[in-house]
Amino acid sequence: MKRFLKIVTDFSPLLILVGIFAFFAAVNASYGNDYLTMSNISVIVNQSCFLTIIGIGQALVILTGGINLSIGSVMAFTTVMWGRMLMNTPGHVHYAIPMLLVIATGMVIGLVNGVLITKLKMPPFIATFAVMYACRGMAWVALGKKVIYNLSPAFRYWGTGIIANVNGFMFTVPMVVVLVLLVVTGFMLKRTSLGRKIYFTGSNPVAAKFSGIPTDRILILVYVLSTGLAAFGGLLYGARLNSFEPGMATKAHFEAITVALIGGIAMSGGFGNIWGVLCGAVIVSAIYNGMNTLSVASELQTLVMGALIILTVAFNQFLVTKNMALRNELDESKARTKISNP
Amino acid sequence: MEDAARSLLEFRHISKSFPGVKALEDVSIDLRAGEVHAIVGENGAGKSTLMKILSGAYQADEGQLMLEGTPVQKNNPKMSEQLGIAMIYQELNVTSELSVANNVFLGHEPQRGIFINKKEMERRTAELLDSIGVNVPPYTLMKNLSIAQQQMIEIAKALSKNAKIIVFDEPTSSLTETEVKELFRIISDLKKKNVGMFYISHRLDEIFEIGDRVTIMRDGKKISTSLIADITMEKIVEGIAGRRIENIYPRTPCAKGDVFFEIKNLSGDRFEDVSLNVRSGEIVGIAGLVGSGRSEVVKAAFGVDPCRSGEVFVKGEKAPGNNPQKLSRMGIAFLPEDRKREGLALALSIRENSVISALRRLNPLGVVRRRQEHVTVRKYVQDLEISTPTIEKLTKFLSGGTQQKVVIAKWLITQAHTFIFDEPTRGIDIGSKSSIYGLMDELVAQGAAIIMISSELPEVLGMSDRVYVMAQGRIAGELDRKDATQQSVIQLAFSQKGE
Repeated sequence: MKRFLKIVTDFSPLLILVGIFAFFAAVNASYGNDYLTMSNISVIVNQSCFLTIIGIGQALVILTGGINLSIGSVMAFTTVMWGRMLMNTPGHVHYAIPMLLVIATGMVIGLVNGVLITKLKMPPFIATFAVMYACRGMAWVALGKKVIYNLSPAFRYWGTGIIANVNGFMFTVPMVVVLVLLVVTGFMLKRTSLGRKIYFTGSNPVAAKFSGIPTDRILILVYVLSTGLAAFGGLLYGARLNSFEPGMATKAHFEAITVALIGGIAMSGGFGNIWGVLCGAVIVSAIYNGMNTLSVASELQTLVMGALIILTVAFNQFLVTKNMALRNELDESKARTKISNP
Repeated sequence: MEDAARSLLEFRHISKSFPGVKALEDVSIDLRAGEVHAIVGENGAGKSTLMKILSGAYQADEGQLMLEGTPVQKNNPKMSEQLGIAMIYQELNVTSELSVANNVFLGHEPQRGIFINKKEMERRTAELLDSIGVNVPPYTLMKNLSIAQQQMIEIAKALSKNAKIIVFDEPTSSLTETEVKELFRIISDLKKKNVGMFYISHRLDEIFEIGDRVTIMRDGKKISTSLIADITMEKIVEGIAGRRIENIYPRTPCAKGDVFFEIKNLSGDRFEDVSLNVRSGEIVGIAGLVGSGRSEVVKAAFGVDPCRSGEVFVKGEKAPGNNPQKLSRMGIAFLPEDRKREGLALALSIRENSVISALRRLNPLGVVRRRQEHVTVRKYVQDLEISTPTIEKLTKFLSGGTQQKVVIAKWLITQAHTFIFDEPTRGIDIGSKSSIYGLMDELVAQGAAIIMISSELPEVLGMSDRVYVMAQGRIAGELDRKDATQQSVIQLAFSQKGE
């Protein structure tokens, strides 16, 4: 029984996902719609890709006990700044150059975030909040009320390309990109010294310092990665929409937080699995998609998201504690059986 | 005579336990009107717990608190205030943005209708201050006053509530000599007003100056109460130290080698011009009262706290300031006082905690070698006899002693050569204690150097080859094993600047 409960708490995001799919499938079926078709699922997963990218960025800082509010405006500013180089006009440089410039700019802003937090001792919420405004402002200054559109098809392939079609399920380029990102981040967090230090710092920053971990450097690095990922997410977002504009992705930081929290990353830091972010992202896009198929008004959709965040955060803390306690009890009972039958 | 001895307040057979500790055991003390009753003892002897029972912050498990012959039922802070009991702590409890009058009457302002009667409040404050001979205008903001003046205001506040009993907890620790004189003058005035006072201080000479009776406490028990006139300084020191040291400390003598770690003229916020060193094969104890700057010095030397000036050398090489990472790479291990806050990530496992400081050594490429990690951690778990079913157990589920062993394992895995133990056995059961002592002995036998900070004098005397005694942020003296006795250490620990 305990073992079963532990599995439930281990895979709670996945179980929520199944529940959401079942719910919308049932409701849609009663309206005569077919929700769980291969093509609809692939739409949902494809939409979740962009959420996963910024969700990973957010999850990294949440793991250290911080938060990054600058994600959305960094997406806007970095892409607006270099976006003209990605337009579909003859004689332009290779699209890889502006892409790298966008990501590099994002990382520089991440550096600013990190320095504000570690060297000027600003709380992450305030530091990234200020950078959020500054970047949005710079985006408006850089482009005014214009929109960059008609982007180069080679670049757009990154956000829209289809690799294979299996029974109506479209494997898209963003899916591959996200998979690669997840594998790399997952490896970094679980299998490298850096990842260990990130978890340890998030779990107890004071003890981290006393253990000889350069916590400032770790935090700065994490904000650089997080903000760089935001810029990269902005590229894919623009590639799909075929435009860049200063007012884009105004809610992205909140969506990223939602996705990370639903994915089981603990707000208190130091606990969570990066693959949960994928689950969180698919859950969120499944809900959006499900509400769209039911033609729920967008105001109501926002309300639903709010309620969902409250539920998950309340539930999440409970699950984390429960999971730890169960794990401990299982270890204990295992040890007892070992002693009784040597 | 019978009348004069009538008790204002009486602790009758008070006992109080906290999980794992008997903080007070059958303590009976009385306080008479118009006397200063000094209470002395080492840190952790139970003085503060006793006073917290008086202030209502704690409830006694057993025993009875009697106020003027009537038992006090279910004491709490509000009630004790109403009964006329006031506490004046070493950390003052003032609202610095408010005026003197506001502070004096905080919470019981004279009112006119629903408004505060400011004029009346200032008039009465001036009266009170006048009565204790303090010359401060009632409208001055608290933040503009010196610590000593703020303390006087606290006394006025106590009087404004008609306090019959005032507890002074280390009142002179941040006062200058003239300010102390001023305070003593006020205390003498209060005596004439028949206020009963408990006076807790580590400065024994003060007790002879101001006290009428003195109670010595040790390990939660009352040792004796006597008239100041009937007791000598030596007797008090002996009483504070108490028990004979039994030989539970395994020390095998071993050859001393090179100086591994040296602090030269280190100064910071809470300590001044501290120099000390430790050699290979040597355990050096740092004794002193809590607040004498012991922990602050080593924290600054390890680089987790900033320091103002001074240098740290590791095996003759100068170490950078403010860089614990570099210090740990140079072979210094630091086992902090507060395991849970500073030593462990409680939400992570034994394995993840114990390798955290040695990641570079274990995984030179930055990629965790999992099999080797498991082997290493298992070996240390076995060597240190860490009792756990699995190395994946989260450290928050471990007992205090086991947690401490995980912190030790963490530093053993780094292959450090100098270990700084800050209160290594605080809150640990006797079994784990002796295994930690055994381990320390083994470490120095293998050529390591150990600095041990401890508030437990028997532990310092039992384990150390040399003892530095700190008092008021300075090294008050250095004693060899043969010269280090409870007497000599306590005398140094209680010594004043410039003595």
